[in-house]
Amino acid sequence: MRRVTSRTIMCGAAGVLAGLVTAVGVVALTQVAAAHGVTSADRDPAGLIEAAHLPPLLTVKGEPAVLRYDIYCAPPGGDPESGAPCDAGGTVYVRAGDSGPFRAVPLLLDTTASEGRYRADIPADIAGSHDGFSYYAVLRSNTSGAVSVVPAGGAAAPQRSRPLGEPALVQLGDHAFGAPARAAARVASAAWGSGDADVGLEPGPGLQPIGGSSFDVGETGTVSLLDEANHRVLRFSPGASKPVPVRVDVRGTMADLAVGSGGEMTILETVGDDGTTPLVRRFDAAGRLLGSLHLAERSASALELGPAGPVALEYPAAQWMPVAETAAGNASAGQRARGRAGRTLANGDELVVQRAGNEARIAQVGPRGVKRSWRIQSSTPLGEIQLANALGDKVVVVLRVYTDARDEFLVLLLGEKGLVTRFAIDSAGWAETAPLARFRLRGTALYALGSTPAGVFVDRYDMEVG
Amino acid sequence: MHDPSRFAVALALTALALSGCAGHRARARPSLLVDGTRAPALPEVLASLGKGAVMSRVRVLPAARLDPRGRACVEGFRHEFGVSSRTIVVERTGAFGASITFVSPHRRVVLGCDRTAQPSPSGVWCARSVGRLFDGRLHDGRVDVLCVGPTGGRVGFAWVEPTRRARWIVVAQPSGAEVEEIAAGLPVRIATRDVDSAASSATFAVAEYDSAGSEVARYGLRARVAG
Amino acid sequence: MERLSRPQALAFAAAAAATCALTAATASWAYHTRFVANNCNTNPPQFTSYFTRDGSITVALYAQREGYQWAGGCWNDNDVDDSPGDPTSDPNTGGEGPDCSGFAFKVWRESLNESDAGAYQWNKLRNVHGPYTAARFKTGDGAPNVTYGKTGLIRMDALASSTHIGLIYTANADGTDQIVEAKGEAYGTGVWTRAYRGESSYGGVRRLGWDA
Repeated sequence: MRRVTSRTIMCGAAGVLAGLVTAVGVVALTQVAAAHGVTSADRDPAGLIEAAHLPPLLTVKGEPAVLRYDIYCAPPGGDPESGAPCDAGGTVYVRAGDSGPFRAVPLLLDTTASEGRYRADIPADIAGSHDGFSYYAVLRSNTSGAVSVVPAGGAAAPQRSRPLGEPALVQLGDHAFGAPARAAARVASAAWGSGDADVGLEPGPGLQPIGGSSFDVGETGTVSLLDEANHRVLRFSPGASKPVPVRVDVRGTMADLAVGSGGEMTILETVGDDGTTPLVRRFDAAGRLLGSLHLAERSASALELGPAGPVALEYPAAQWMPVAETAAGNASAGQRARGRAGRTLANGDELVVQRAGNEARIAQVGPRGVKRSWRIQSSTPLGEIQLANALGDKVVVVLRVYTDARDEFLVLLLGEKGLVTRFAIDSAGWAETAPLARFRLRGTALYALGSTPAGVFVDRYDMEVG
Repeated sequence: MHDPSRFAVALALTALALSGCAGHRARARPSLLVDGTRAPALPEVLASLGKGAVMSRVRVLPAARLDPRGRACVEGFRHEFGVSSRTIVVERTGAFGASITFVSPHRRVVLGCDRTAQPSPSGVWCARSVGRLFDGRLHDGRVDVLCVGPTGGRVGFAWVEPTRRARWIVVAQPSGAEVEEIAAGLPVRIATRDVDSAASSATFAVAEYDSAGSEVARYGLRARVAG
Repeated sequence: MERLSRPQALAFAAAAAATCALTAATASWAYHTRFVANNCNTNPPQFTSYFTRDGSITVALYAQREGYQWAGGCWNDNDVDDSPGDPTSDPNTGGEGPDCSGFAFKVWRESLNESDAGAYQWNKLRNVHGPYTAARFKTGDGAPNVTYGKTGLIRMDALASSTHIGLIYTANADGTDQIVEAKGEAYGTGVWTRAYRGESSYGGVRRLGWDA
């Protein structure tokens, strides 16, 4: 063994000194940069161009054939915070049905409107098409020249508006709160915490509780509960006394979960890192990462397993887009080129939903257009449409009904002629979840995710299909 | 020519006047609480705090036994936090402010309302506060800075989590101190007139005392509006 | 000068590298909690006689993808959380970004004087939170703020619970809303789909005085 000489020790000490000097120098330079506001490359403020648009996915006779947008871009003068109006404009390209050339319709500023201030009036011959119309918009900042296409797939995947046709009318009247249905069974429950059988609450300092943000149910009734705060999925098998935790490499923030027939898990994050869009990750049943890809759009509100793989409802396009990695890749362009207004069912039909005021519109769309539709009217305000899914020859819809003081979920079983049955479910939403992750329909069972200050649970309601 | 006797009389009169001023300051110490009632007696072991210390009145009771304004505060949180008339409430009435404090089921959140002697434009209570408990404890005092006292000055309120050995929280005030007895294992809502509106913050000079009257902690709390 | 032997050179390099890494890591952690001290100001706001929902939404959209800071109100519009991973148990880390109520206060161009309903442009680097918590917004406290029925809320109105506030960017076809908000330390600021409108813990709030 070599002797450690004093010279070696002195060299080590000199190295410590050199390392210290270097590090202090680097940090000092960084802090000088920071003091001048240069923490990383500042975004070009002139590049902002965003648009908000509520697509008229399902229309009824007599509604005005107008498309409205709000456009946001850099105001003249270069100070984004000046509040000066943005000089914007654009063109909507619209055609009857799904084929043929698009016709250009300019967007005009409607100064009388408090929202949707840029309007395009659909030509009467297109608006009157029995098959509805498809469209996309090219929006631009007249100040900076920045351009945005909405939906981003443009002519390849335009937004789709369809007439509701001859819908079955469902009149709900006033909702009577306080009489929720009793669940057939509580199939999963966990206290808040970090123990083996607990579900975690996301850490603070924010005040609102978030945890157990999504779930799914397998064909055998196994419940998978996303415990994002503890970076795992809890698997509750029927009859088992305790759940099995499966670790998954997730971000730890609100996310949506879909579980395939082999136990493969797909998780849609709602937050991206370092300015990127959120990730969709796939894991095998043991929690090993199989792949991931970035959403094409800024965010997505829901994840489902479609016949061709997982799909996500992405915004600002407001379209369902495929989010499975494929050999051809599902990079942004690929996702956007296959965006659709509705979710594809197992039989290839599309189910399209729209909440318009105190009305919910549901349409099942086949290759030749709307096959059947429902128009659900309520005297009590309607919130979001949590679920719409086929159940044999019927459709199950779950809506939120609310006042300023109360809210519940309303479950509707719809048949050809209208309402077959209905019942209410307590909203039980103490902890926040992914926005459209409260319900799953598996076979004839409706599963509902709920929470209280004590913990989280999943209840099963058996649908009487008749 | 200087007259020693006149000088002595002047000195005596001056001393008398000064002692009168000091006495006036001592007599100006508020011994009335914001509801107009007399403050309870200071515990013997806290006598060292001096005549300027005012003892708050503290009651621990179920919400159902509060007066209507107290019940209104609890009711305002009922739907969102599941509190009920059985919820145990700590009601504090001090010289500068009054409050009620309670926790939600499973001790997830601490809730409360504040008021001063000055009626609030929005009702009896000038502030409602909510604080998330992490493993049963607050990370943030949930300060409010928009209440106004009877002379028009701001009154800030915040919660403090006392140390384990403490029995009383003493908050320095311009005219002395306000003494709060710790109760029901809940954070203690304290008041101050040291409010910085430009910074949306309030500063509290706090000391904690144990049952024997010994000081166990002393700190300044600068709390900023958040959440 | 005598050349260093191999062991001597290795000792120097290893010690230098280890020290450099350790020092930089420690200093970097210390740095990222000095965002406010190093970047933000306390300049007075600029009174604005004309302010619009468009203008405020533009400010909010620029403020996407920034950090979140409890009691905070200062950010730099570079699409990066410049103070990531602040310890969530410490509310006083001085990092980048607003919290939810600070975000609403600045985007809504409100005054520190709760009796003043005027519009004030603060600028992103002005560190200001304002006197309102989400709970105060929910009850419509302050001259600029009023409670408003949820069915009638439009863009740049807000949905507030006692623990959180988010501003409406636009409505979605399925009845959810896209909300622009400062959501939490792990989320930062951004636009997300939320179901706040239907939840009874959330109430509607409107900022008064929009010119358009």
